[in-house]
Amino acid sequence: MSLAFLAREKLPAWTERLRRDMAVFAPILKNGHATFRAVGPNEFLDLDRIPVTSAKLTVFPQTDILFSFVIKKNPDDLTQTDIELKSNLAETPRVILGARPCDARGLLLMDPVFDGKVKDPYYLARRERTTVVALACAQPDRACFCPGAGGGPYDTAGADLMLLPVQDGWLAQALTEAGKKLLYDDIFEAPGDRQPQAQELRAKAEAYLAHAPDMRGAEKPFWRLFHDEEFWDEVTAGCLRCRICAYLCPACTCFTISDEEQGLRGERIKTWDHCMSYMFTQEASGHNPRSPKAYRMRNRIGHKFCYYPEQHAGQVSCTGCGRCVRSCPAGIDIRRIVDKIKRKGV
Amino acid sequence: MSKLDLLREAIRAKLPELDLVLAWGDDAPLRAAPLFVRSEDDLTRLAHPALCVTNGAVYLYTLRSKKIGLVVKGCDSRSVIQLLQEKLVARESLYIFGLPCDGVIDERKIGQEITDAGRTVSLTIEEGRVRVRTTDNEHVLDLDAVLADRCLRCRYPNPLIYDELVGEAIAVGETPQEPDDLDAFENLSLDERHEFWMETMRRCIRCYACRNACPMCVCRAHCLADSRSQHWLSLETNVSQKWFFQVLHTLHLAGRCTECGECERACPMGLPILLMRRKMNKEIKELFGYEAGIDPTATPPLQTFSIEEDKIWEREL
Amino acid sequence: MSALLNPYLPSIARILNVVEETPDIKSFRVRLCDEQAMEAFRFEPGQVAQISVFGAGEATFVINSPPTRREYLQFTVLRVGEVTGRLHMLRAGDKLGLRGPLGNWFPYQDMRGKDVVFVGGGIGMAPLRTLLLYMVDNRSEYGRIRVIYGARGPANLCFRKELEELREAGSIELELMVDQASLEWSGRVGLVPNLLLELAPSPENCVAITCGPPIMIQYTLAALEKLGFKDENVVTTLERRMKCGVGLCGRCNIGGALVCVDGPVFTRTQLKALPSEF
Repeated sequence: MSLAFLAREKLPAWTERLRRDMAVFAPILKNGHATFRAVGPNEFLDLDRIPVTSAKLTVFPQTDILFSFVIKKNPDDLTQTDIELKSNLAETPRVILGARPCDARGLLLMDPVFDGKVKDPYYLARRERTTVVALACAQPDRACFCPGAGGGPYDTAGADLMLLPVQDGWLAQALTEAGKKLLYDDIFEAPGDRQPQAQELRAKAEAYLAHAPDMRGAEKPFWRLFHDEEFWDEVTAGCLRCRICAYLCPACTCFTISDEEQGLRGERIKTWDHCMSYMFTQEASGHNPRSPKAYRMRNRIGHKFCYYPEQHAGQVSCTGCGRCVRSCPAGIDIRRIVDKIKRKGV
Repeated sequence: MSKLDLLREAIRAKLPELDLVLAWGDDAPLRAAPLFVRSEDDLTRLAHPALCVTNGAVYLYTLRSKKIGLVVKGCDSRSVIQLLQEKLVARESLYIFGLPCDGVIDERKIGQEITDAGRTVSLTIEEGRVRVRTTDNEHVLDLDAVLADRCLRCRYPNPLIYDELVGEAIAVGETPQEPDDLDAFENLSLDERHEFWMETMRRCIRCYACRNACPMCVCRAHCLADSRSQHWLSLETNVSQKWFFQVLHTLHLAGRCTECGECERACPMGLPILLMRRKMNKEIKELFGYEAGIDPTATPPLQTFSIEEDKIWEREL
Repeated sequence: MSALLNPYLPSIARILNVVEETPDIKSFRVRLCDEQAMEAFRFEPGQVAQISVFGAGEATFVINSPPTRREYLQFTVLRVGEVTGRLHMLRAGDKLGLRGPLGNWFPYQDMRGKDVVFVGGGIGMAPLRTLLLYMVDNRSEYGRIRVIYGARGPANLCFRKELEELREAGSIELELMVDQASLEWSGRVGLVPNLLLELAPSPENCVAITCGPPIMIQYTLAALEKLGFKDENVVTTLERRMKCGVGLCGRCNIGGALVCVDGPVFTRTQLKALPSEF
């Protein structure tokens, strides 16, 4: 196991070095909020705050062009048209720098969706070219509950390289060849005797999360409560049907496809969508099977904690990152909903 | 009796006549969430008034067929008045508990004062101070330093509409003269202002929380921004589409926005979008001498038409 | 990049001709522009395709012609919204996009040697037509074929001429019905589920297939249950808003099933295992 040390002041140099060979996606701080995006030259990375957004946009961008179309008219007979489609797959190698263990786990939850029986070539082109540099969480907060979803603040699942916080920087643990390649000699040093410090921080973080509620095993109670309309009305009451929870969630993958045209040309694009939106299941006939907001919440919770685990050996479609809890303007807490389901659905 | 106790008793007394009461519950230590009180048991969860940041008026339109009680601060009451002006809710279906308010805590400001706000265990409010106990520390902050900006410039601490007032009305004294960010913004050149908004829109994730948290946004599934039968907006998340949406939203709120600030509070990115709406309101005030959410019998200026508008004068642009 | 590797990329097809079936229903007969691809195109009765009108978007339609008749692929389209509205403006010679075949198909092998009852309403006759014509083309493999079909009015009966010709030829028994009486109609008036109960086909060695508006399907399924049809012998199709059509976008789920890959064809047995979110 290769272990090295990155001094805090060497982080900008490492970032610039990575940027030479690949696109770097990392949390950038602005106005007190750290959010993942493509890093520009000499941008300040924030590896201390828990990022508001997830790193999923690296492999699953919010807007993705499926193809462009051009309608060509035959000059000799303008009523005759031909259609030309052009599509491109990503080719740039990329690295997620500072993915929390929940972000890395999110990618592992997305893989079976886009790399299952039917493969999404746009996702795969990015995923195959992505190296994940994960950052362990020494300071989880109140909203975090990753152990309850099968992860942990120092979980290495899905990471190529793991950064372990210490006082003057990070210990770096290579987990794959791809991760090892990023341990440039002129930037990384020997670990010294920092391991006990890293271990201590780890023990503290895991102790802080020792009481994370278990989000698994809610399948049977969920089915028992499926028709309890009062229950679903009650847990959905405050929901504003915005898109925050789905957009911030590392495991949410629903998208819509739309054509955006300008005259005789245009693009078919894929964009993030949200199951809490009324239009999500609105049919052209006017019928909507999930007209009440409560039905949509039932479907959302059902998908994450019942349908997905039933098809993936009990693994929930949730990383316990707490982003939805932190940012929901109406204070909806998914931990409480699952807890209520488990207690009431007996 | 504390204001919280008075509120609890007031709600308890009226609850049997109402389908539910919209108040605030202490679900997270730094701010309270909307609480839908349906039974007396729910009353044990009522939150301290300084944490009651959300605006319950946003639920009124969906609940308009029910008889509901609603606890309002001054700012919330203006949203209720605006909804009444536009006949979006009926006065008879509401029982309003007016809660005079000294100001609410902005959790983001606590996050600016202390680095481990996310690990808060408890928050207690004492005379002019806030004691925040986190996992590893105890912080004592000045209440004034963590009150929401809009509270610092609040002109309506007492609700403008209510069926009963909970506690004593607050004497309206001098509003503290804080440097106004709107003035500072207006001193920027047009190019600088444009760059400010473009940079802000780059960080926007088009989650529509600002729209959905707004009590005046009742279009819901029919919102122009979501309409696919007319492609007013494309679904691309680029700066121009996000900017188009913000401008659209602000224009649709002209003469209707009561500056409750929920749009900005709901934004997960902390974007300063309330600024745009305040600027719009300033224009409306100058043009029509009108302020939204004050008089339930008034008509918003952009929802009426006269050949001769008494309030529009020739303006130098 | 080939369409096989990219499930989102449509093939281009040319409209051969457009048939006006009713005032708001048109059938489009198309051929893939790539001749080799057209020759190699194989599908089962009941499978669907996503048809693109570039600029408007895509919509899902059953491949309405049977796999036994492959000079063209037919799609019968009811005009209800944006994509179908733009589609209805297209004429012979125009191009559109096609992704398919998608979804599952009618379990026609299990129906061999049995009697079949088709119960259709409105545009629901479109998916039924595929299976019906397939069975007619393989007539000796099936028993009695009865079609019970109703629509709003006589002008809304889709494929009416074709169905009546099949009856004349002795291939099928046919009962047509309209919701409301009118001067040009001297036939049956009423609702299809009621006619079904009146005709009371025997469930013995018989399969029933029904498609139509959700409310009609609901009552028809109830009627079939009353008549004693076993769950595995009752087949229907479900509709859901669809986008990717291949199980990636997560939108068309009913519980843990995805209508685009686990359907759109479902037996009553399968329906009963799904949560009731219709």
